[in-house]
Amino acid sequence: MDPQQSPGIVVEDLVKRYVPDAPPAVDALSFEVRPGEIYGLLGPNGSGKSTTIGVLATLLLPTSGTVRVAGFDVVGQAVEVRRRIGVALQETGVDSGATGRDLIARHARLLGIPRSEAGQRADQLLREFDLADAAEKRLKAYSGGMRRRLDLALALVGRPSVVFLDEPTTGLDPISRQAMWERVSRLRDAGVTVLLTTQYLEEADALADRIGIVAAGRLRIEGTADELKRSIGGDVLTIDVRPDLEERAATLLGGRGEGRGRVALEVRDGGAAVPRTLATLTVAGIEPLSVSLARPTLDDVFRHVVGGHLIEKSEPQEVAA
Amino acid sequence: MNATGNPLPEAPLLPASPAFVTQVGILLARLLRQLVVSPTTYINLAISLFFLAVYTGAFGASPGFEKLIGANFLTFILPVSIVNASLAGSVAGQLLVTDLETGYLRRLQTMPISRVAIVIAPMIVGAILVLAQAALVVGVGMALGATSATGAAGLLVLLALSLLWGMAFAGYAVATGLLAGNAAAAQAATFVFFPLVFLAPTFMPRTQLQGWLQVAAAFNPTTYVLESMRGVLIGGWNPGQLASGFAVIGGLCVAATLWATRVARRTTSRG
Repeated sequence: MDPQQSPGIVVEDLVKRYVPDAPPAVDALSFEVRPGEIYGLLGPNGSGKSTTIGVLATLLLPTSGTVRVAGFDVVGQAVEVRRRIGVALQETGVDSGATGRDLIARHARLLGIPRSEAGQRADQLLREFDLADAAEKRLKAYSGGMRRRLDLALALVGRPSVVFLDEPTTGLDPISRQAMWERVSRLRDAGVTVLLTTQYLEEADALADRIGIVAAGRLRIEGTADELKRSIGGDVLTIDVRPDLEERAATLLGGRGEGRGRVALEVRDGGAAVPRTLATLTVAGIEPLSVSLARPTLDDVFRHVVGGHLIEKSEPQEVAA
Repeated sequence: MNATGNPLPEAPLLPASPAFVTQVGILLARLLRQLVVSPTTYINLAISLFFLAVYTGAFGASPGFEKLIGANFLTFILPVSIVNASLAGSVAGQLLVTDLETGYLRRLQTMPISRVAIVIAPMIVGAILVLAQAALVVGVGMALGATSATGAAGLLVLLALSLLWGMAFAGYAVATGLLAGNAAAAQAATFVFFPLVFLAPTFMPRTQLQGWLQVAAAFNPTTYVLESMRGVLIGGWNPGQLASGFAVIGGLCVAATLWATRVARRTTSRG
C-alpha cells in the first residue's frame, strides 16, 4: 500500500495489557483517522487515551491488534512511523538549559535535516509560533504558554504527516488557548492528520472533525460533534404561546405542555425544525410569542456515555461495549 | 512557506535518518554544552587537584616514606588522583536520569534515532570529563615535579587508561542511575568508588600491604590500573604490566557498557 494514499491512522482491535493477567488498559479498540482529519479522543482519567497514544507514537508495544500510522505498522516499521510523526505529549519534556532555537535546530538535525537548513527551519518555526523574540532565551525562562507553543513547533520540525497532541492547551489562558486552536486548525488546512486528546470538551467541539469517546479502554461512541449531540436525544425546541392555546399547540406539534403557555418538543435537527414548526402553528392560527432552541452539549454526551448509558441510535457510529 | 502563507507542512521532508555516529555527535554536543555551563563541572575538576594536594601534604614530606615506596611521592601518588577523577564519570548517569525525569528521554524515543546512541552519548561525556580531569592532574603534577620514566608517550598511555577507566565508571553510573530512576540515587551509587580506591595499593606498593588487604587488592581491578600507571611513570615500559592493566580496564569498560546498554534498553523498551 502506498503510505501517501493510506489512511492517516488505522487501529484495529488494539489491546494493551501492562501486566499479563490484569485488566487491559486498552481493550479491543478500533478506529480510523482519515488523512487531513483532526480526530479528538476523549475519555476520563485512566480510560486508556494516553496508552493509545503511546502505542501510536511507538512508545509502547501493543499486546495484540494492528496499528498503522501513515501507512506503516507501529510494531514492525517503528522507525518509518517515527520519521513521519510529530509528537507533543504531556510527559515529553524539553532540555530546559537550551535555548528555543538550539532545541529546535538540534531536533531538526536528529531528524536528518542538514545543519545549514536546521537553523533556517528553527527560525521559521519560531516565527510561526510567535517565539522569535525568545529564540535565544533559555527554556527555563519560557512561560507555560511559550512551552506549549514550543512543544507544537517541535512536533512539526520534520513536517510530519501525522501529529499526536496530548492535551495541547492544558494550563493555557483563554486567549492562548484560542491561538493554539487556530494553529491546530491550520495543520488540518495543510493536510496533516491530527490525533488530539483533551480534557476540554469545547476544544474537541471546536477543533475535531470527528470525536471518539473512550471509557475503561473501549471506544464507546464515535462521530462528528453534531452526531454525538444528536445521539443523546436531539435538540429541544421551546415555544411560548397564549396559555389557553398550549394544549392545542402541544398536540399539533407532538410536544409536551409545560404550563403557562410553554410547549417543548425534541427535534432531530433544530435548525431545520424552527421554520417548519412556526409554519405549522401559523397555518393553525396559533401565534408563537417566542421560540428558543437548546442543543445538547458535548459535556452532556460525555456524561451520558461515560456514565455507561449508551443510547441505541443509528446515525452516529456507536460501538458496542 | 506554502501557497496559503502557512509555513507548516507542505510536503513531508522525510530526510534519511542521520548516521549513528552523527546521532551520537549531536547528542554529545548537547551534553557537553550542559557541562560547560554547570558549576559542578569545575568543582569536579578542582577535586582531583584537591586530593593530589592532600595526599602530597600528608605523606610527601617524609623521606622515609619515599624510600619505602621506592619513588618520588608525587609521581607515586599521581595515578591515585587520576583514578579519583573517575568520580566525575558519574555525571553520565546523572545526565541520563535527568533526561528521564524531565521527559526529554521520552521525546528522543519518539524520534527515528538509535536507543544505543542515547545511552552512549552521556557515557562518552563522562569519559571526556574524566579525561579532562586526568589531563589537568597530570599537567599540574608534572609542573610540581612529578616525572615520567617513559616520557610524553607514557603520559599519553596514562591518559588512555584514564579514558577507559572513565568510560567504565560512566557505564556503571548510567546503569545504576537508570535502575534507581532518580538523579540523587545515581549520585549515591558512586560510593562504590571508595572501597575500590581504598582496598588497593593506593598509598603503598602492593608488596607492602599486609594480610586481608593484600588479598582484597589482588582481586580489585583498581590495583591493576594503578600499577600500570605507576609502571609507566616510575619503572619504564613493562609490556606485561601494561597488558594486564589494559586487559582489566578494557574488560571493565566492555562489561559496564554492555550493562548500561542492557539497562537502558529495558528502561526505554516499548513494553
